[in-house]
Amino acid sequence: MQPKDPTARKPNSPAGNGNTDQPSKKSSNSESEGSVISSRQSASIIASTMIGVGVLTLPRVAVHGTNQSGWIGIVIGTAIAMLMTWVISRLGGRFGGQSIVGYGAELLAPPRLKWIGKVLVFPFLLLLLVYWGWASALVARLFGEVVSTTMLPTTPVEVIIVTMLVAGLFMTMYAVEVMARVNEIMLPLIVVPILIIAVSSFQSGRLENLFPLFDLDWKMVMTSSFIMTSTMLGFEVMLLFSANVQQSPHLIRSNMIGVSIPGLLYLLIAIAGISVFGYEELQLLAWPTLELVKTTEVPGLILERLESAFLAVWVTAVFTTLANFYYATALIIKQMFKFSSHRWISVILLPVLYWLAMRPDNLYQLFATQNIIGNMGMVAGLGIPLFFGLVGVLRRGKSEKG
Amino acid sequence: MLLSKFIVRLTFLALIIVLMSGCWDRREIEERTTVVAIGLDIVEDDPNLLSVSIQIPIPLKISGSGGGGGDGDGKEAVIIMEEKGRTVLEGIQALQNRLNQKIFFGQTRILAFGEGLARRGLRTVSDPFRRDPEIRRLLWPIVVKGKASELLRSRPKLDQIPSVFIMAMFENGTKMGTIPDMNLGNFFVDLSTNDREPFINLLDIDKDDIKWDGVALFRGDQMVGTLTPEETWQMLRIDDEKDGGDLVFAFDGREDRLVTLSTELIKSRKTVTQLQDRVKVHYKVHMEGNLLEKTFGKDLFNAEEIRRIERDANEFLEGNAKTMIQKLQAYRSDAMGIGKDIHAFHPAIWKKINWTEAFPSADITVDFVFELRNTGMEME
Amino acid sequence: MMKASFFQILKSKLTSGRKKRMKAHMSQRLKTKLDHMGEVQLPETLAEALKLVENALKTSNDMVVREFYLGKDSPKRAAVLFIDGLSDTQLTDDFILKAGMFETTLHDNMQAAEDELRRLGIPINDLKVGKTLKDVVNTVLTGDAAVLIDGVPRVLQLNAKGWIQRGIEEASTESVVRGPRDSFTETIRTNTAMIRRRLKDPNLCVESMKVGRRSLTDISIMYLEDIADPKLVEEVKRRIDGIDIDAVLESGYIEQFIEDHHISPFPIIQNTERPDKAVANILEGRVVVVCDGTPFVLIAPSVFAQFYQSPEDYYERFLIGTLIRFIRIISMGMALLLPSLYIAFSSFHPEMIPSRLVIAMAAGRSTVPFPSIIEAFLMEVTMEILREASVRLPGPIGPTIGIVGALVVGQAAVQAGIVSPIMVIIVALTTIGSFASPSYSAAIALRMLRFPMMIAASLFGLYGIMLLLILIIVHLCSLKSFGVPYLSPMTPMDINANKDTLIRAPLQWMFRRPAPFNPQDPIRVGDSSVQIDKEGETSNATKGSDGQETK
Repeated sequence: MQPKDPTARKPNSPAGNGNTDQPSKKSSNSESEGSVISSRQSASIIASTMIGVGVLTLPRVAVHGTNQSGWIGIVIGTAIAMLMTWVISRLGGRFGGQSIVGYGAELLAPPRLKWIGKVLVFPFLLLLLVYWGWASALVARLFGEVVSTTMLPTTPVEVIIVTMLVAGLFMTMYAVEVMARVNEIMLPLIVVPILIIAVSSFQSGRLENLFPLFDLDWKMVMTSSFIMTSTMLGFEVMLLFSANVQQSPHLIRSNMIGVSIPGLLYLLIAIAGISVFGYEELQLLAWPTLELVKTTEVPGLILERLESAFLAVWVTAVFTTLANFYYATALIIKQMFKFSSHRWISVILLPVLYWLAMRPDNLYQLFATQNIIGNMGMVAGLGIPLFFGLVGVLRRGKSEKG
Repeated sequence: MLLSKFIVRLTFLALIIVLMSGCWDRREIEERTTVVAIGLDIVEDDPNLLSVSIQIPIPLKISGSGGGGGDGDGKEAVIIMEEKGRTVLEGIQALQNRLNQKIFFGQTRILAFGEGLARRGLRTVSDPFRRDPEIRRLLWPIVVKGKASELLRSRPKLDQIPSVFIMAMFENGTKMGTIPDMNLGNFFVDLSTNDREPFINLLDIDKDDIKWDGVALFRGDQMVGTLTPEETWQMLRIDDEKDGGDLVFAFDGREDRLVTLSTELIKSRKTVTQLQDRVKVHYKVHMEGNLLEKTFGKDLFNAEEIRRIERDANEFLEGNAKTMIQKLQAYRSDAMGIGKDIHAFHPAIWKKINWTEAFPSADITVDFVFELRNTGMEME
Repeated sequence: MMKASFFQILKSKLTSGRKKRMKAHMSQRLKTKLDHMGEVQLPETLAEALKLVENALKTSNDMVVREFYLGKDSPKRAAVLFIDGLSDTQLTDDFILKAGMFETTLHDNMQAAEDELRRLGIPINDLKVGKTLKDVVNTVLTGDAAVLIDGVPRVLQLNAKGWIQRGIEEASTESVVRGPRDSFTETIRTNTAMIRRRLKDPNLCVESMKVGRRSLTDISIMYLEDIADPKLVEEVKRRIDGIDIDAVLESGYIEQFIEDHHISPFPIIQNTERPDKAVANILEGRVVVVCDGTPFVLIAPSVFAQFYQSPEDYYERFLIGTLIRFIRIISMGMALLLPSLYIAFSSFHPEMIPSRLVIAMAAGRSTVPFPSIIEAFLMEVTMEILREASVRLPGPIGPTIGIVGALVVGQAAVQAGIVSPIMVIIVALTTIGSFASPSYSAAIALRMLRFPMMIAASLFGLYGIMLLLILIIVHLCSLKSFGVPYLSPMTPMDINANKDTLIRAPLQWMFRRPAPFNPQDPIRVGDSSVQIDKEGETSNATKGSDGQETK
C-alpha cells in the first residue's frame, strides 16, 4: 500500500523523487516485498487458512467409518500437518527470500542449468496453482451453500459466492504484508466463537457417546486420518509465502503453534459433536457444527438461536481461507510467469474462480468435487514438501561431499 | 489506471445489480406469520391424512406490546388454525393458503403430537422438522393425551400466549429437575441411536388446564406406554441425577403419619455385571434432603427417628423405582439408556449380548441412601 | 469507501499520462510577490526606503509609519514601522521610540556594522537585522516593528508582537473529568510554550517553518530529539515542506496534505487541543505539528487505538481507566453497528429475538409503513440533522433545542406510527454511543460508515454486516500513518505496546515506549519501585530525586 503523499507529486520538493527509506514505499516499489511477515503473522496465516468452511461438516466427516473414535483421525492428521509444516518451514528457512518457485528450480537442477530446473518444477507449481484456485472457488461455493440453506434461503447462491469472491479480490489488491496483517487480526475472531461453541456445548454432551475409546478398526483409522489430513490442508500456502517471512529462531515453533491451533479446535469441535449427538445422529446431519450451535444456549444472552450469528462470524474464517488461497493463486502465477504485478491476475481470476465454483450442480456433486480437490491437495500439501525436502537433503549431502 | 477504472466500474455494476434485484430474504417481522406451536394428529376417519394445527399470536392483541395497545383479553391473543393433509407440509401449505403472510417457524416453541399419532410412529412426521433450518432444536416435543389440537386450543389464564406458558413450565421444570430435559434435538438423537430408546414429555389437557403428566415411552419411534410423574422422577434421579419432585410417604408404615421430604445433591453410581446370559445392573443412589412437612406431632429431632425417616424414605424410593423399571422392561423401552452405558463402558459385555432381547430380562436393581439434612425452620 | 480504496491503490500504482503532463506544467513552484521583494536590497536613504515600503504595502492603511530622530547628540533620521493592532503600541512607544529618541547615540561611521546596530540602546530582547525589502515587509506583517535608519541600508527587526488574543480556556471538544483544564489557543507561541512548560527537556526540539504562499502561516514541529525516530521527523518535515498552497487557515489543511491516504474515512493523523495529550504523544516518540491560528495540534503518526484513548485513562487508576476504555469501545461499536443489527435482526433473523420481544416488535412495527431499513435511515438522518443543527444554534440554547427536537420528533413519530418505539431507542443509543468517543474525527468516521453498514444489513442481514466489517478490517490493515501500520500494535502484534490498547495496564508495567514508533530511547519507566510495607508506611528506597530513580 503506497502512501499518497502529496510531496511525491510536487516537483519542487527536495525529496519528491524516490524517497526510499520509507518502509511503506519500499513495499510497493518491487513485488518481492522483502521480509514483511513476522513469525506470529506466519502462524496466523497458517492457522486461518486451515480453519475454513470444513469446520461446518467436520464432526460428520470425522465419525465416518470410525464412529465414536473419530477424533483419533484428527490427532493423526494434525501430526501429519505439523510434520509437513516443519518441512516447509525448514525449506523456507534454507532459501530465505525465495518461494517454491525460486528454490524449486534451484533444487531440481545444478546452477548452470537453471532453465532445466525451471522446466522440471513447472508441473509442481501448476498443481499448486490449480489446487489453490480450485480450493478457493470451492470454499466460496460450500459457504454459499451453507448460507443459502440456513441463513438466507431465498438469496441466490451465486450472489453469496460473488460477494465472497469480490471480498477476496479486495484483499488481493493489497501487498503481502497487508494480507499478513489481516490474517493476524482475524485469527482471534475465528478462534473465539468456535471455542465458545465447543465449550458451551459440552454441557449438553453425554460422556457415554465418546466411549468405548479404542474400539476401532485400524484400517478405518488410517482412512479417517487421511481424510482428516485433507481437511487440515492450508498450511501449504507457506510454500509460497515463506519468501516474505522474516527469518527468526522462533519461526518453526510459531508455525507449529499455527498448525496446532486448528488441530485443537478441530479436536474440540469433533469431540463436542460426538458427545452431543452420538455418531449415529451425526451421520444424518448435513452441517453438524451448525446443529451444535443450534443445541447450544449461551446462558444470560438475550439472543437465541445463535446459528445465524455463528455463520456470520464464520464469514471471517471462510474469508481468510478463501482470500489466502486466492492470493496464493494470483501470486504463484505472477512468480511463475514473471509478471510485474499480481493485481491484474487476480481480477482475471475472478470469473475463472466463479466458473469453477458454479460447476457442481448439486450438493452431492459439490462434495464429490471437494473429495477430488482434497486428494489433489493431499498430493500438493504432502507430496511437494516431502519431495522437495528429500531432494534438499540429498543435494545438501552431495554438496557437502563435493 | 486502466485496472482501477475497470474495478471501479465492476463494483458499480455489482452494486447496481444487487440493488436492482433487491433484497431476497428481507422479510420484516410484521410480514411473517409467527407460529409458536404446531400440533400434529391423526385423522380418525382416514388413516392416510394428518391433521396439522398451528397457534399464531396476534401481536396487537397482546397487552404491553405497544403499537395499538392491547386490550388484554387473553381469549383473543392467539388464533388456532387446523388443516388436513397427507403430509405435514401439505397441511402447512393448506394453512398458508388461508393466511396473508408467510408462515415463519423460527419462533416455534412447541411441537405437540397427539397420542394416536405417537403410537403410530413419529419418524415420518418428524422428517420435515429435521430438514427445515427454521425449526429449533431446542423446542419442546410433547405427547398430548388425546389430541394435540386440544393443547393448542387450551388457554391457560396465566399467560396470554399458551405456548409461552407451556414453554415457561418446561423451562422451569427442567431447571428444578422435575421435568426431563427432552427437547427436540435430544429426541432426534435418541431416535437415531440404537442403544437408547426415546421418551417425550406427556401433557394432560382438561379444557384450559394443562398438566404435566409424566413421560411417554417409545420403542423405536412408536409410543408404547407412559410413566407417571413419580416414576419419571425416579428415572430422573437414577439416570440424570436430577432432583425430581418431593417425596410424600407414610412414616413408620402408618398412613395417618405422612412425611414430605425434598431430594437434592443426588449421586448415582452404577455397576454392570454379567451372570451367564443375564445382565445385572445395580444402581446405588445417594441423596440428601430436608424435611418439609409432617402431619403428626411427634418430635423427630433425635438420631433414631432421623434414621427411621431415612430408612422409610429409602424403602419408598426403592419400591417406586422398582415399579418404574418393571414398566420400562415390560414396554421394552430402555429410556434410561442403560444399553448406551453398557456399550460405552463395558464393550466386552455388550458384544456378548443382544441388548434389545437382554433388556427385558436384565436384573436391574436400585439401592437408595437418603440422608436427612435439616428440618427447616422448625426444631422438631 | 471500498471503491475509493480500490481506486486509490490502483491509481497510486499507475501514474497516468495526465498526471505527468500536470507535473511538467507545474515544474516551477509559484513565485510570490514576497519572493520578488527578497531580491530588492534596501536603499541608503530613509526616504527612498520608506517609499519602497509604502509602495509595497500601499493599500495597507493599518500600517503605522512614525519618523523620528535617532539619538540625542547627533540625531539621525529614522522611522519605525508596524501594523496597528498586530504590535503592542505601548511597547513601541516606550522601548523603541522613547529609547531611540533619548537614549541612543549613533555614530556616523557605523553604517553597515551590524554588530553595532545590534548593540543599539533599544531595550527589546529579540532583535534581528535584515537588508532586503522582504525583511521589512515580513517584519511588519508578522506584527513586529521595523526600524529604518537614514543612511543605513539595513532594517532592524524588533519583536513587538502584541495582538489581542483569547485567553486559555477549557478544551471544548476533549473535556475530561480528571486532568488539566487548559487547552491550546490560536497563538502558536502560547501553544509551544504550553508544551514546553510540561516538558522541561533540553532535547525538546521546536522547528519552525512557514507554510502558505500568502498566509505565511507559522508552523512548529515539536519532538524529542533523543526519542523520536529521525527518519520520521525527516519525513514530516519533507511532507510539510512540499505543501504549496496559498493559505493555511487551520491545521486541517496541513493534515490533509501530509496524510498518507486521502480517501479513507478514518483519520490518519490525530488532532488534539489538549497540551497534556500532545506532550504524552511527544513522549511516545511522535511528532507534533503546531500551526498558528488554530488550537488544534496535529499528532503524527497515529494508530487506530488512539481514537478511543483519552488522556483521562492515564490519570485514573488502572482498573478504572481500563473499564472506561472498555465502555468507550463498546459505545463505538454501538455507534457503528446498532442500527444495522436492528435491521438484520428484525428483517432477516427474527428467530434470534426472544419470543415475547418478537411479538412486541411486530406489534410496534405493525403500523409502520416502511421496511426497517427506510425506518432506520429516516431516523438516523433526522438525528444527524438535529445534531448538526444544534451545533449551529447559538450558544446555550443549542443543546436544549437538540434534546427537545429529538424528544418531540421521536415521540411524535412513534405516535404517528411512522417509526416503531424500538427504533427510537436504537437511534438514541447510537447517537449517545457516537458521542462517547474521545476523538471527534474518529466518531465521524464511524457515523459515516454506519450508513453503508445499514445498506449491507438490509441486503444480506448479518452476513452483509460481517462482510462489510471484513472489508473495513482489510482496509484498516492496509492503512499506514507515516510508515506505521494503522492497526499496530494489534497487528503487527507487539505485546508490550498492547498494554495500552484494549486495556490500560498499570503505569509501572508500561516500562517501554510503544515499539511501532521506533523510539530511540525505549525505556519509559525505570526502576521506580517504591517500597510499600504492610503497615502502609512508605519507605522510599532511594529517597533521592527522580533522577536517581530512573536509570
